[in-house]
Amino acid sequence: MYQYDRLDRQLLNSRSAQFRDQVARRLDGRLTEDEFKPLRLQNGLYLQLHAYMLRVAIPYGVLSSLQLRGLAQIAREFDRGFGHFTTRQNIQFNWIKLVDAPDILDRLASFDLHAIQTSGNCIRNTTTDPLAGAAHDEIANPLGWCEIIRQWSTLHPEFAFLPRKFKIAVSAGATDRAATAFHDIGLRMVKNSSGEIGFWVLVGGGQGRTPRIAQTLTPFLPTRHLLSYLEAILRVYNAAGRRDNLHKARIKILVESMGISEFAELVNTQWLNMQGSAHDLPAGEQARILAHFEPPSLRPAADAGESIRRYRLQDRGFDRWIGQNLHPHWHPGYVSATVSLKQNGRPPGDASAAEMIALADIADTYGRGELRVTYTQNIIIPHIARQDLPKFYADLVAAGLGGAEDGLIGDMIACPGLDYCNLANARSLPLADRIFTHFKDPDLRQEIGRLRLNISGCINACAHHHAADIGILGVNKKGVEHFQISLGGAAGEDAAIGKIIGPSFAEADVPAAIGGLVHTYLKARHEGELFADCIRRIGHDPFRDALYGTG
Amino acid sequence: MVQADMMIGEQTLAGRVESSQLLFDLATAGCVAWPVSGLCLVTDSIAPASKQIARIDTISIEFPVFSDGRGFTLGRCLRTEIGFTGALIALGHIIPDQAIFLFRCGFSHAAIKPEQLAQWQTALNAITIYYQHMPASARSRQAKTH
Repeated sequence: MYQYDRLDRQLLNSRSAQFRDQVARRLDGRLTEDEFKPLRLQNGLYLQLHAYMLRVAIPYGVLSSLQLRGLAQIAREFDRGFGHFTTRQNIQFNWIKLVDAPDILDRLASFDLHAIQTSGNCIRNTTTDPLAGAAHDEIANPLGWCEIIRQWSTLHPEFAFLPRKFKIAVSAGATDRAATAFHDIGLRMVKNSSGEIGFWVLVGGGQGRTPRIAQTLTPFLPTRHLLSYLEAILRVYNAAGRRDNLHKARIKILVESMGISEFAELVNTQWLNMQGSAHDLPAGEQARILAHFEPPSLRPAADAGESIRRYRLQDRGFDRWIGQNLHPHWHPGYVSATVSLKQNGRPPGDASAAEMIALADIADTYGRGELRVTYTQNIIIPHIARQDLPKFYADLVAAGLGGAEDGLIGDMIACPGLDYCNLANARSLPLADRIFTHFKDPDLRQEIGRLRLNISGCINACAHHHAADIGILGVNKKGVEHFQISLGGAAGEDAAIGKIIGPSFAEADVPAAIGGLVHTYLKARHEGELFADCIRRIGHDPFRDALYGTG
Repeated sequence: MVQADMMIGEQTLAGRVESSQLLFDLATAGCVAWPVSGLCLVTDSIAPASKQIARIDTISIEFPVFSDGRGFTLGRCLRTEIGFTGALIALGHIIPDQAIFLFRCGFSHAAIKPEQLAQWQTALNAITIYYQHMPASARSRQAKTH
């Protein structure tokens, strides 16, 4: 992973000192709240229902074990002992005091983390495939490009006050595991006919109240032009994006209103104007950054097949976990493993300080001291030798993190909802737990198979309910929390926006409704047919009938 | 970026700057005398015929509200695409914390309230490292190099 040098550290320390001064000016009244707000937001500090929330950037979801231990310390000292991992591969602390924020930023800087641009109308943390650099199906390792984008977008002087927030995702696998089509800019690494690697650039995707799937801006951009092209897109957006209406300010609205071809023409004209000026990263600097992401040298691994088969027969939990939580690696003797942060009684994505420390130890013992935060609010530990899996699993179980939920109905994404967030209409977390309870039999969850269920507490769609097989949206119906169900969304290369199936349900009725949908699927599916494929084949009607009757 | 359909207002600074305001030099962190005349663009306006504009001595860009970042793009385009080399003044609602961003987007001066002079001076030196390998402009600070 990227190793900070003296200049990277100096930048973080200056930024932290700058924020300390801004907080002091706010506390003594020299800054108004209106003036302070964008400054604190660009340092990750939100004001929620009960306290400040600090969102810490985990660049493209990659954490060292040392950093995870540092985050655990922050959870203990400044929060209530927990951290909350988000769909944007970040971590949030929900119980922060404003006066502590500068100290926390100093602490983060001491282990090369920060909260810069995790909020506000600026370029946010770039996200990517949690298996990046460890996947079996990659065209190239996208992490170096993510770091290049991180550096370029950090304190970019021209783009700190955009019309609205701006999110970039990069994916390089044959399967898109970064939901690139739901980002302001999606970058998919591809090879052209002459074998050169470049980016397929998508623009204008997003969720919220106006969900849109990103459209192709250019099918192939040579990697060396990445920054000048991003700069051209951002420049067009910054100049022409709407600023009169918060709900129409994202780039998806601009792209839609002028049409993708006119937008592409503006970007290309802008890009051509910029040619010759040094907008692209100099080759030497590009090479310096990419060199941090060379593949690890992994020892040849012994054939572990027999011993793993034996363990699977002995231990039902291990058998389930092996079947569900592993990801193939480019090295046949290795895998990457999901650590599920989804359990009955646990808000999805929450981890305690003790759990973070246990995971850091496990990553040091069996992996390369590196962990990934996933879009689905779990942790992945990459580069695990297959022969170590029984011990690896035993350590996870000892830490209380042996759940085999990856991709199953229990692997829900949920936003913090009305328990924390002042935007929410409804509480997502208790509903997630009720649904988990409804499907409490692990054999049933396994029988249902891969099924993405996401719960957003309001139309801002932080839990990506639009992109779920089953999406649940909290609405306010005459002052009472209700939930609207949609079906058929998908986040990957077959991205689709779910369709609302009918009138909303009271909270208590939602688990049974989900039960009805699942029952309909189990009855109708062909052998091995995924929920999404089943819906495509039989349509929404059988599901609607199951919920609302045939009348 | 040059957009033809946008309004351009050629006006004096009168009425746009309060008499007490200082003209802060973003390169030296000192204050200088106001220019007598010049072209004032509101943030909506994007430069017209580039050759005309490149010959002007002073251009002011007015920010309607500090969170409206169009002025940064406008300033940077004037410098890097139109080749404007005169004085570029930021007017309107701007805050000291934007000093470095303004400077790095090509602004040479900012119209500030006298009581904020010290804050502008502090802010200008808050961060001296940056990542962007921006095209050399008339004024650029220390870039991150290896």
